[in-house]
Amino acid sequence: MIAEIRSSITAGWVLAKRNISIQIRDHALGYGWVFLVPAMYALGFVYLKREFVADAAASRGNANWEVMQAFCGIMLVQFWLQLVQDMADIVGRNRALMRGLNIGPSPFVLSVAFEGLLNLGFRIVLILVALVALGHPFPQHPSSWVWMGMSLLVLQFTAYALGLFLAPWSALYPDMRKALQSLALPLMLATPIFYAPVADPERALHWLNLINPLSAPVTAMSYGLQGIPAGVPASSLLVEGLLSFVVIAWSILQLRWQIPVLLERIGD
Amino acid sequence: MDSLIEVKGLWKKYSGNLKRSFRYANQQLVRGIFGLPPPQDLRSTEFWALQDVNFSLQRGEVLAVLGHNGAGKSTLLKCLTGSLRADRGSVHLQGKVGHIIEMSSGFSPRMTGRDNVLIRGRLTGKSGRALENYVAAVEEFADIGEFFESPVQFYSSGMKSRLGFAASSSIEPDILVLDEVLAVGDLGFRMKCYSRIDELRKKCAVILVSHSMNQVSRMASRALYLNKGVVCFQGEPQQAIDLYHQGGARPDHRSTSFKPELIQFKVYCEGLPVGEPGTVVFGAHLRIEGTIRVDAPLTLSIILHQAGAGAIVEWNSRRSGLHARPFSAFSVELGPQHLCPGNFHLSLLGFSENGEQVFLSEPFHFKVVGDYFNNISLQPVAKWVFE
Repeated sequence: MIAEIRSSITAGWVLAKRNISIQIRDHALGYGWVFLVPAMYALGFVYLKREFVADAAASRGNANWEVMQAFCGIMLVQFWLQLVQDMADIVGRNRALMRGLNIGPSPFVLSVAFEGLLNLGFRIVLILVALVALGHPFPQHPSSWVWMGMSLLVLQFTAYALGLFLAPWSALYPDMRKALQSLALPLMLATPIFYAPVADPERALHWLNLINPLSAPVTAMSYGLQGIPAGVPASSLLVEGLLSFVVIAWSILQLRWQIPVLLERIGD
Repeated sequence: MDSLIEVKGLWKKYSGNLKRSFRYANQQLVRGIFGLPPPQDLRSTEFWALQDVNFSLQRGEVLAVLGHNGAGKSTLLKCLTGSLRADRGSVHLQGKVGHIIEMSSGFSPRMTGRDNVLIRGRLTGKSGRALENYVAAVEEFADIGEFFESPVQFYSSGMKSRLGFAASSSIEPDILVLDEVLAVGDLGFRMKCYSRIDELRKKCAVILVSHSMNQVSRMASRALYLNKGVVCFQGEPQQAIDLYHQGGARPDHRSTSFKPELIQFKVYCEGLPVGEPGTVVFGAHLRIEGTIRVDAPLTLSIILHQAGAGAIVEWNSRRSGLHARPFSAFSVELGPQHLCPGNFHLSLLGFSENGEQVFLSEPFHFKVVGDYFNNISLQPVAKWVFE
């Protein structure tokens, strides 16, 4: 069992390096796009947001923080959506390798996870740079850092879970990718990025926040960055994390029999 | 001795309609989520690609899977390697499996041969010295020179085949599965592959699909003949080859003739007319007699085809410096025919003096019977002296 896990991790790492290497060869700017896309987005967004909120928020004295919150939220939503798409695409993207080598689905799932970690690393660096650039101090309380780490973990878990659940249908229908792309804006609006989480159960947005898997991690990250660990929705975060973990394990088991069914239908 | 491959009651179905195939896949995925098995019976547009296939294979054996296009050979191999899921029955494999089902499957076209082989080695659990040895062994066997350092997208199909075969056979598998891979590549490389398979068969079980009866007769210790997904025969390779040839010799109903009414002919074996489809004993004398209904002199050509191998011999009247006269009768003495036992057909062509084709007769099918040694088309009897 342990040997199997170790070999899956090694194979996953090898596949991740292979995918990165292919991306580098395929693009003139190499893997730089992973850094460039969020960086361009960040620069444009920070400029615009500062211009728009400066007057309105100057009186409240938190203009910079609103910029920071929105920037961090957009970074995480973008990352999450990309991760869902990559995970949903594992069969389609790796079909030749799956036909050529019988190594099971775990290494492919792990390769997306490793690539995701690298991608997340770039975004964390950007968030921390933005924090400094916007004049905010780093959170002092250790529990803030713990909750931030936790929120990023849950964020990834929810993306893996949804992506893996959708993977079989994504292999059969390219519509799935388009559907996920079309969700980007509604998802951003349904996530407390431009506003604080809605606590009033009378309002529909409260329920939307509640069922949105991004709400709890993004809110936790936001409170963590502000150094207010008490505001973190801990129970939602833990329940989401556990649920996602169960879905991931179940989906990987399902993929073992689903992959041959899919390979039969999808072309070369 | 324990079997390395054990296939029991294997059934596999396909749908001939893409939309329905996707719909059935959807149904299967949803049923699977609730732990329900896929439907066992055929639904609309579905057909059985494999029906109740049973066999086992032990270390040291080479099983050739024979059959014409669409017989289910590749489906069987894909079920064995796990690329396809069987609808009924079971496949038990023991040990490491090396397979080449699709040429260079898994190789990234953007990466070099070396990088692809390195990744393949790592994915199969190799590291350190073992990985270095593996890459060196593949490089040496593939023998593609400096192309090993070039992206695979620049390879010819022969080079991809070389690399694919070398990478799959260099892992010292317990089971080696090969699908038509030896059809590509030059003779020298094919000889190398035969030698590698001979080496491997001592340590592993080999299952191969081939349309080349030479390969089958040369390498297989057993053969399985599939026809429309059903195992029609399992046993001696030469008997399976005979069946393959019989299957391939069914007269093709698509007419390939051209103005066949301009020529009429009969085939005689040892002086007696041969019916169609006829039987000719190995080494028997053949003669053709007929009449030509063309109002100009022409060159007559007789072409002999072997089933599955194409044209193998031509007798041309110009080689004898002769032309057929208008509206004349003719007779051609072909002499003793030492043909490989199997299925053949003859066609007669007429050419005008300026080289235009005037007619092409309907093919005349016949079977050569006799002792089978191997699948070389012409097997003349020589005068041997052993001292």
